[in-house]
Amino acid sequence: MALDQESIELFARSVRGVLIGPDDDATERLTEIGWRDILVTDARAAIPVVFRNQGEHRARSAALDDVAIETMRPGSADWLGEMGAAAFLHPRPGRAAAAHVDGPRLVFDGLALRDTSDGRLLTLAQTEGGIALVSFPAAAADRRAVGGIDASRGLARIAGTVSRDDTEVIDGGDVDAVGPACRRALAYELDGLVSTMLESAADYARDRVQFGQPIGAFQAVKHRLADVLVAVRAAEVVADESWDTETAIAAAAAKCLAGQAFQLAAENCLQVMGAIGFTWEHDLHRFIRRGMVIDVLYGSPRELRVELGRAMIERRQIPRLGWL
Amino acid sequence: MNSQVASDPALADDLDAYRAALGAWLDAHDAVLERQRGFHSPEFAAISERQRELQSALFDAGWVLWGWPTDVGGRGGDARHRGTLYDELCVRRVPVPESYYTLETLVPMLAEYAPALAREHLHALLRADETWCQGFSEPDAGSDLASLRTRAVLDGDVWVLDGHKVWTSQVSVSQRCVVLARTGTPESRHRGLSMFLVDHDAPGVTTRPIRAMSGRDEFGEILFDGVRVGRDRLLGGEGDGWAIAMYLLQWERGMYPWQRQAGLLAVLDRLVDERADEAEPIEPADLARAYLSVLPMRISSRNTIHRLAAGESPGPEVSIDKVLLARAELEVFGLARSQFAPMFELDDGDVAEGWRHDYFFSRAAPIYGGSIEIQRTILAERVLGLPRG
Repeated sequence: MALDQESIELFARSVRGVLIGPDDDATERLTEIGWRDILVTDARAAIPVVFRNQGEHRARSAALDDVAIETMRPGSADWLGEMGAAAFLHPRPGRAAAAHVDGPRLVFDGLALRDTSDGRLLTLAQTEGGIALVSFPAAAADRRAVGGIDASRGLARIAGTVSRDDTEVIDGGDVDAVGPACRRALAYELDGLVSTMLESAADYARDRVQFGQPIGAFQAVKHRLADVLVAVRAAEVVADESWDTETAIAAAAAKCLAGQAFQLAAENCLQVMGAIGFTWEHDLHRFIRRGMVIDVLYGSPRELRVELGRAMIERRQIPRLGWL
Repeated sequence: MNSQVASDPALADDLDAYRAALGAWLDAHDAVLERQRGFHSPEFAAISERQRELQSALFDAGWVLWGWPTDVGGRGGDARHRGTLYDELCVRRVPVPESYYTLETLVPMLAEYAPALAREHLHALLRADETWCQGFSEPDAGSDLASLRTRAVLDGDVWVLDGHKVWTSQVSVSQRCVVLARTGTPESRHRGLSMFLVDHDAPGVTTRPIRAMSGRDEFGEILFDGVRVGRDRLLGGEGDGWAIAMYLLQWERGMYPWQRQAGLLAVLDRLVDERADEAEPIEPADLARAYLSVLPMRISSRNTIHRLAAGESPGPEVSIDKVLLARAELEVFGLARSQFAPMFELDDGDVAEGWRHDYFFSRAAPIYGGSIEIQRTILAERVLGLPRG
């Protein structure tokens, strides 16, 4: 069911009110304002709002867990609760799945969007019958906070082994839709990050005076920022299109283009902001760090290009999304 | 049967049905399409002549009448019908006929500002019995178009034009030219401009082709020496020239990238198909990079066409489409060149010449129709709010 414009704007205002910044996890607050209900009602309206804002404010939450599960269990607003699950385990970069069956055991090693020690974990596992949604107890897991380039993202690496007797396979979900859905959501998050970086550099270019004029009056500066604008809009239109046609191709393309836009923004916004942008004190590097982490989840631009190219060569035809 | 399908009034509101019916007709007339595939000549006139075969077939069957308003002689529907035709041709690896590029900017403008002229000439343009060109740029007015110096002075009941236009696409095969000329003072900049329709066979008009780096006479010059133009050939009113140029330009921003993306995807289709069985097939990541340069341009120009079809004005953000177009042209033909090396560099014959022509033509994309420097400046000032320099 599609929400009307007024409801979407109301929701967007609530989202902006709870995704207030990088310092704490907004998952509970998102749940309180009804994000999961909106997601179930109108994913197409909910996901861009939440993920773009999460990027713009460099906020963090486990909303991606909901996106992953909603694609497999559409229609219910509290999947995690129903399954007694605390979190969804996402694959580590370069891996197809976060778990696989090995004889009588399930071996898991993935990324959680927040550290959770109780309840059960959900993930997609490679089984004899292909990829399946499984749940297993979290207690047996080895958990380590992921510091890396952006400790403020609050990722945790969760690994271990459980007996298959303790593992429940949950049938009936569209497991192939999870990757594309996560890619699309992360594309929106990157687009949000880039928008803030661009706005911040444009503000600076309007204010900073050299040679008697704001540096934003110089064409060299204008063109750098215009290039970032073009790149991020290119990523956004493709993400928006992925709701309509060829979702897997379009979502991979959207994430790739968002990653490319982010890379360009990292270079060009720093160049425009000069030494100020290079300081630890300035927020720019925090946005760059966050973007780099998102960039490697569910496929880096390079990996996505290889994947897209192979799919096209296999078909011997170029996919045409976006019919008139 | 086919012309009956093409005349079904329900197609005006049902784009999917239009696409399906048109596609069926095209597939049933593949012999007509085959004449277009891989045809190459360094002479623009030869290209036009060959493309007229397809254009008259599309006209006679009625397909190109869709998308144009009934009050100027079309069958109804809107720009989406026209865009669908270009897309369906390119899906079948047939290039968009050249005169449809200029027609797509000139006819919407005529329909808006000079509906009587649009009615009079629409069918001849659609059938390619006539080609028109746009006389905008001058030797001293390129990116700074508002400084143009071609003058039009009212002498009794006729306008008298003197001046010099250059880089005019398709000038050597055109019968008429839409000319932006100064009717105000030399200092009046964009306020003192008016738009005229001038016949090439009028006394005082001289055209000279210019051969482009591709080897083809893509464009040329047109000179006006005391050319007398009737008042009925003033488009809109005196002083409306700039507004008309801007109106026309939004169609160029919307439809031209759409037409080009259709052609670029056809090039990529050929690359994956023709190169698939080679010992060293195309690198997946290279193919994807080129595809990803075209895809956003396709979707963004599609969105622009939707806005134009709904009667909205797209605003300064439409410059994004032009920047995307320029990048995509460079990417796709850069990839084609690398894939067809060393045939591209060393072979003779039409196949190699065709690729070389298209490659060189793609290099003009960042320049023509408002350079990407101008587009990026527009985006920075009018979308990002940076100060004017």
